[in-house]
Amino acid sequence: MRVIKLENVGKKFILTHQNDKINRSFFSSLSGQRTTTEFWALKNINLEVEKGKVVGLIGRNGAGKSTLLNIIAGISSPTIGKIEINGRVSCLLTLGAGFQNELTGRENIYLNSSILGMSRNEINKKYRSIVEFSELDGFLDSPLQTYSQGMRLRLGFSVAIHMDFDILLIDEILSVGDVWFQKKCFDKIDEFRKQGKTMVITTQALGIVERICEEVFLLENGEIAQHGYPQKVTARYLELLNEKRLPETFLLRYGKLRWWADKRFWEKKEGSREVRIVEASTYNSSGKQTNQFKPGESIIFKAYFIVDQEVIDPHFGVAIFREDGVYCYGPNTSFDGYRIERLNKGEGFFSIHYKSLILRPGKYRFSAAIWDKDEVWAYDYHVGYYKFEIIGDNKNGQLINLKYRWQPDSWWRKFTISNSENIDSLLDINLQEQDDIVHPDIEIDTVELLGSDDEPRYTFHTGEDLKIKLHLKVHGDYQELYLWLGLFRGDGIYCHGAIRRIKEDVVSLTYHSLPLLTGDYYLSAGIWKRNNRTHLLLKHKISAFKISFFGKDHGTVFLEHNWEWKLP
Amino acid sequence: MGEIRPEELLIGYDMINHIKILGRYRHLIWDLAIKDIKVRYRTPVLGFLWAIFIPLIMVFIFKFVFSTILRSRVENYPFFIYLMTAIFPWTYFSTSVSTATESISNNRDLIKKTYFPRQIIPVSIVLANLINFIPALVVMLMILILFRMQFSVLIILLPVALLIQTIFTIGVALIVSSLQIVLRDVKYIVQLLLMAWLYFSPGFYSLTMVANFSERFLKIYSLNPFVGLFSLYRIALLKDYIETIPPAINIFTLSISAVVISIGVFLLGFLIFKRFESRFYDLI
Repeated sequence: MRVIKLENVGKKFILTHQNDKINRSFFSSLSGQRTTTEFWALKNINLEVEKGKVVGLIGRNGAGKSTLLNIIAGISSPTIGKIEINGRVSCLLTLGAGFQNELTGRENIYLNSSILGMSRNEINKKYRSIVEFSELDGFLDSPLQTYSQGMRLRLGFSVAIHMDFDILLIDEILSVGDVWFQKKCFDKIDEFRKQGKTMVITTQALGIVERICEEVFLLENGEIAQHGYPQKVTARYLELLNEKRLPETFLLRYGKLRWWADKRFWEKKEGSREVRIVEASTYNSSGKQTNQFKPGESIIFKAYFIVDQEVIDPHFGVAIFREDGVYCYGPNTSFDGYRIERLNKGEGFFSIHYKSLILRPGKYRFSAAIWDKDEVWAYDYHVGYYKFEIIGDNKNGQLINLKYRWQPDSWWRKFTISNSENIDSLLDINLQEQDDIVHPDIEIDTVELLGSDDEPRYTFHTGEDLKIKLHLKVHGDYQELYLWLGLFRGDGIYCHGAIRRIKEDVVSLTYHSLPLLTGDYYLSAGIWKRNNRTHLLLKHKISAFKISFFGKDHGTVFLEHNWEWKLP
Repeated sequence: MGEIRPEELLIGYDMINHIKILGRYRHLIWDLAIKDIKVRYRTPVLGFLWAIFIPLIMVFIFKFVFSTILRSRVENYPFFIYLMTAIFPWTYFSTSVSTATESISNNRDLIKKTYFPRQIIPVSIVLANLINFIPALVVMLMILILFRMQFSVLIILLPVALLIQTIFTIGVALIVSSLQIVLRDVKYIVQLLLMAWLYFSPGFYSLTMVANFSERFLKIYSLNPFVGLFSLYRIALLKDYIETIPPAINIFTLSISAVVISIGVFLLGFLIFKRFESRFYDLI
């Protein structure tokens, strides 16, 4: 059954120049003098969605995705064309539309639910579940103005997903909020998909599109440039981005992820300099300025800036690179869902606080930047300018410490999750250069990748659990055999390695809430005998998987962080 | 501008639907109205008391100007009481209309981000003002008792008058709220018209005075539904008021025309509102 059908739909906007509200006054409408231009936000849109399908809309900013979604939602009406919608539509376009600051959380749940079209009975029935999902139980009698942005988001999301619907429209919202929130969103979407609900999703995260959509439409300048199965359309989109020769940063965000930083740019400053970063340094948790940190310690990076010329809609970005060029992590305030309306002339600062840096010991650098709204140009961008070091040994070059657990495991470790490096892991140095080694008596039979539900999968979402299950074939006894499993990113960055003595044929390793960012990853394995300095068996790329992240954050690994700033 | 479907031109076709929708969304209308009242009174210190003070103070001002300074008199009733029976319902109407005017443009968030039939917004504003009016009405009745006024059975007409007025007010609210989006000058025009309207309604002078002035003028004058409405309120609240109406005025036709005009404006309101609704999103 077709649930959405658009026929030759077009949407025209009339842009009135300068202050349109003044221009729409009585006199100017009488005199007929209008400085307006027409602009077709959508042209010739023909689109059909079958019941139960998950459809993606991709395209650059301003390509018309949101306009199209608004038209399907019935919020905006098309200038020309025909629309047929069969079923109840729910939107995750905007969370908490109509929230009132003066009212309490409870009152807002009721109001928001009825705005979304729930009946009183329905709300009463679902109220408990909405509250539980939002995890805001203790706050419901406080007025909404006391809520943080994250709490509002949670409340809005809880209400929105509790609505009964046949068609769900999801806009960029998935790129806001913390990892907890995104994981919850993603789980919910998965659940809806299993229930056979129809969904239309717009997003910039191509990994997600490839993972969950069955059909994708690419919008360009208000027209459908291509549609079809996901891989085909996302490939076309990347080509399109290249053709347009967009700034490199743009590609970084939407297209091919740049694995390694171009070290030639390090210690350079770029930008149009309306705003200047004058001083920046790193501090430890007690507020002491230092460049050296212990593994797992918290780090604060703080940058002071001077605004010489007022700018609108800027955002702050901070990136961490490893000394050899590995792009570790680059969030910015806009990815994190904050909006800074303007910077007036004066002085201010911004800082990012990593509660516990899971990066392995080594030398690193911070980049700091103040960008314009679209991250197309920088007001000031200090590339790889600020050095810091995490003290300790890191001979094997692993990038991060991860929470993981082997199974079966000794009884006393069953309840703990290891988060430390493996001391024995000296055999994994420079593995990249070693060829595969085969052993007549030892064989890795199968490798299974499982999600938290124990179902096999090849795509995981940032923050999900990943379970690797190995079936070995060992002829003879296991005396003193050790297994190494290495997690690499597609371009060869050694992210993490784990080692364990093997006693059985089946061994599994679970990574808990894997914080890796979007990309292709693979696993390598090695087996050796204790006290033997060479591998008996070594096999690269025993299995591969993809990770997709709802956000747009750059880099390899998601690091928990908080922003703080003082604006002039 | 949206393409007009042929059936939209048939007045009856969509109209019934648009009105039916109000029933389907009654909870939302109620929630929005309650929200409006809560937001309105949660911060002021005197809170809900303002709903009573405002019409009361207006009555005192008019009483001072017209009765004390200009020496106006009406037959049979204290001027204060006579004024009050018109000014209280009037404040219900005028605050409804003036708050409804910008109701669409003030709810940008809802228009831009959610879908529900938009007529619900001005209708909920009128409902909020109706709820607001109830305590004022109670206070008015208490004052009448305090003045030792007697009531007749005709007090049953009070809810009827209230209903007609509400229907009329919804119609006007729909018209002004939608026109305000297309033409930003509407709110000033509304302010001006509201003031003129009160002076062209028999609030602080009696119908007899108008009849004495010109019978022909009276005919046109009676097209103002508030002529009928104020009369209805007074018939309901003031004993024997019906007998003081001059013979030149047929109270029955006056009431009927108030009803007809109110329903007409109500329907016209939906027609105009729906005509412009598709443009709200773009123009807001």
